[in-house]
Amino acid sequence: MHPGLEWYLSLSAVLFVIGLIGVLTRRNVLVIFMCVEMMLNAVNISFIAFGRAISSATGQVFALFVITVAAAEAAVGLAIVIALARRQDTVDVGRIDTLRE
Amino acid sequence: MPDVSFPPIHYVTVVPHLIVTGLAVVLLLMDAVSRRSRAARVGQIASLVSVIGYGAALVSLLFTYDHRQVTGGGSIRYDYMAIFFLIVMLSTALLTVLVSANFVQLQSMSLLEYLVILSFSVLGMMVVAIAGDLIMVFIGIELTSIAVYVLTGFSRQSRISHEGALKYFLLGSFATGILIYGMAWTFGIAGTINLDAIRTAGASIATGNPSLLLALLLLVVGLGFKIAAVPFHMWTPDAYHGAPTPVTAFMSVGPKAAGFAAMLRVLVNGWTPAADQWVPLVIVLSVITMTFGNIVAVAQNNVKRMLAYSSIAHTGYMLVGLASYQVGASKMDFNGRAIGALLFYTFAYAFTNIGAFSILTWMQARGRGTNIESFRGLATTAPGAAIAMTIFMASLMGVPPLLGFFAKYYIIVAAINANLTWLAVIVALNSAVSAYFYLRVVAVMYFREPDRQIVPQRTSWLGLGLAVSSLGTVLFGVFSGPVFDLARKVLL
Amino acid sequence: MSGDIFFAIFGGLAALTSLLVVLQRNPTHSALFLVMSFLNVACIYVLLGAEFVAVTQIIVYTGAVLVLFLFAIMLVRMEDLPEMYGGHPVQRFVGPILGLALFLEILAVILSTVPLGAAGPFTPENITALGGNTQALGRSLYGDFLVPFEISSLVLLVGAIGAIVLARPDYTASRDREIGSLFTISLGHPQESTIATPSVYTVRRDEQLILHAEEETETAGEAIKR
Repeated sequence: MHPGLEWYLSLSAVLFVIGLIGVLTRRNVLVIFMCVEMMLNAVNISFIAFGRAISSATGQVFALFVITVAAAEAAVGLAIVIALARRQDTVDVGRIDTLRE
Repeated sequence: MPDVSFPPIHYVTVVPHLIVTGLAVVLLLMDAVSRRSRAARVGQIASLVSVIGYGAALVSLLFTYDHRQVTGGGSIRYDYMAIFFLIVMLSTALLTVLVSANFVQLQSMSLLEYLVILSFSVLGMMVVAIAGDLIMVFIGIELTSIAVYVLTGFSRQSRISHEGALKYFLLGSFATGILIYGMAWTFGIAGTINLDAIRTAGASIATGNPSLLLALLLLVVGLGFKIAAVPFHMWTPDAYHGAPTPVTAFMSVGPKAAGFAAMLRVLVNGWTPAADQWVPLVIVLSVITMTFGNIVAVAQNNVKRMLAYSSIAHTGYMLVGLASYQVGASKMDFNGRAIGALLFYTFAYAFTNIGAFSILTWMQARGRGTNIESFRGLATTAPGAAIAMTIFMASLMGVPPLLGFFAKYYIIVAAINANLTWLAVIVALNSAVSAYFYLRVVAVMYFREPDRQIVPQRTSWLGLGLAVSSLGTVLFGVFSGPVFDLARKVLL
Repeated sequence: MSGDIFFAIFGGLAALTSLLVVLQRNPTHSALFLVMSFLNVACIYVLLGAEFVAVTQIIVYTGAVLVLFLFAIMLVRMEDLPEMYGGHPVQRFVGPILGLALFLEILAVILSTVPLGAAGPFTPENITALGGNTQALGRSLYGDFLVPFEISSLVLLVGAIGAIVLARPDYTASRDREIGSLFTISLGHPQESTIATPSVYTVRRDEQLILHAEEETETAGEAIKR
């Protein structure tokens, strides 16, 4: 037999919260973005688990859309990172806080 | 089971979307085949094509107006709400093209690429406007967001532009994660992602069910990020400040309208039966959003940053419209007026705020900064721009015959009708506070000596954009009745 | 019982590797643990009977997205990257507390009875009758969600265009000539000129006047006027 819905939902919650804590505590922008991807993955588990519990394929369809969007987002996000690293002309910066006055 | 059958789509309901998609493809092809040495000229033509495209999409609404229906297997909801949001979004797009054309070229950015990305962003917003299920809401929001991340970082030489883009991107995708977690729970407990079906299923879920509360909380937090409501506004000042000014104008209006469209679709069309549970959340959000936005805006010396914080405050005012939603079938008319007030506010805000940012663009195109000191004596050096800026500031403040006044008026009336008089009082108090920083700009323009002349610069597109937005602010203010009559049909 | 054991193994590994992604100091290590995490999550999808999504997950996430991450890590010197929340140590405490609160809340919700929506047509028997998970998924995707499916192609398009617009180097007429030789990829031995590329960027940066960004002071405004 399979473990019940609540186990999958709990796993999803664990991964989601680990990702969330990572986003809130890490400083490296790449790692923050990885944590966001982890959150999206966690949500997909919820979608598919719910979908199986109510015998609907919609959960899997939504998960596919989430993966699609995450791929497009990753392309743009990493392009921003690369563009930013290229424009970095001073050594001391290392802070995203240049904008704060 | 039978073979796969594609859902029937009544294409007449997506004519505006098809026009904008066509526009995007045409611009993309122009970019591909045009020679770099002719970029300036091709850019001008592309601006014209964009204006014609968005204009045609606006006009097409007149002909598709009578074809309101749910189609595409429930994915497309073409109703009054969709039509009104499409008007707001296409007007925003039109004004943005006018405001951007000269500026983007003056900054030696590629105007064609800019217009391509802009058209995709507008398309995403338009998808949210007609969304009939949660996937459409999600895909539309993401299409808009991804395009706007690119636009924010569009200034290739500027580091703060890229930094703003990065911050916006990270917090934006973080918000996406939270939003879809809410959608997952919605899917689980309602068993469907179709908005009408959620409404039906929601009626049988007990009030105060913890799963329902969790779903609503996650949805409101996720969408709160997208509309820049406090405390989910952290990205706003930096992204708005870092982005090229015409992009800021667009961002402060377009994606915000899309965020509100998503919110109305999910909460008002979908979770209608749970209204008594999400309304308190929205009330809290609206109070802290407008208060925080206004208080911080007071301290700003940079007008661009001031407008960023004031944009947060205006999000708070708009949320009051949603907060005035009342439970019960007998409240149909009241609710139409409340949500209609929100819609009218997005319309008013589009003209007024893009106008205000277009003045900043106008100044920057002439080598001025966006600091408040740059506005010194503008009334003597450039009287036309000073008058336009005065109109926009007065409208944002809420001075009577202008668009901004009626937007606030309808919001306050909706709050009083919903027995939220205290909320209406908070709106009024906040407007009083906001008068300080709007009037300050006007005072600096009229009562301070100019320190230097304006550098002459030919910016005909920008001039047209300024004329349209200031005329719109005045005329739609004077004739606000018909616009609001359309807006209040929103729930029909 | 085997389902339970596999769930424990893959779920436990997924949670552990996810935790390590957050805890690792070196971003490259984080990326590698992310691969592990994604693979384990893919196994969870298989346990849930979503084979197609599991394969997509492996191809798209571990195949494409993770490679993008590694490219970014490789191309970018970490010192060049800005940091989020610089100078806000308060976040270190607020983050875990907020996360823990949310987790307890979700757990409480899960432990109370979750009301489930009405059952759909895709029961295990029906899925088998259709020929499997992929067939069922295809029916749902093209039957009910054709419109969003079409729009998702636009999302990918804008992702591709946006990445090119942001990340490609500047083009100017003089630079095209200059760069022509530098950016040629030779299949022979690497040439020394390739190493000189960064200096080209340095020169370009100094030449360009940034009109709109750094004009906080009037003096900067004056410079632009000239």
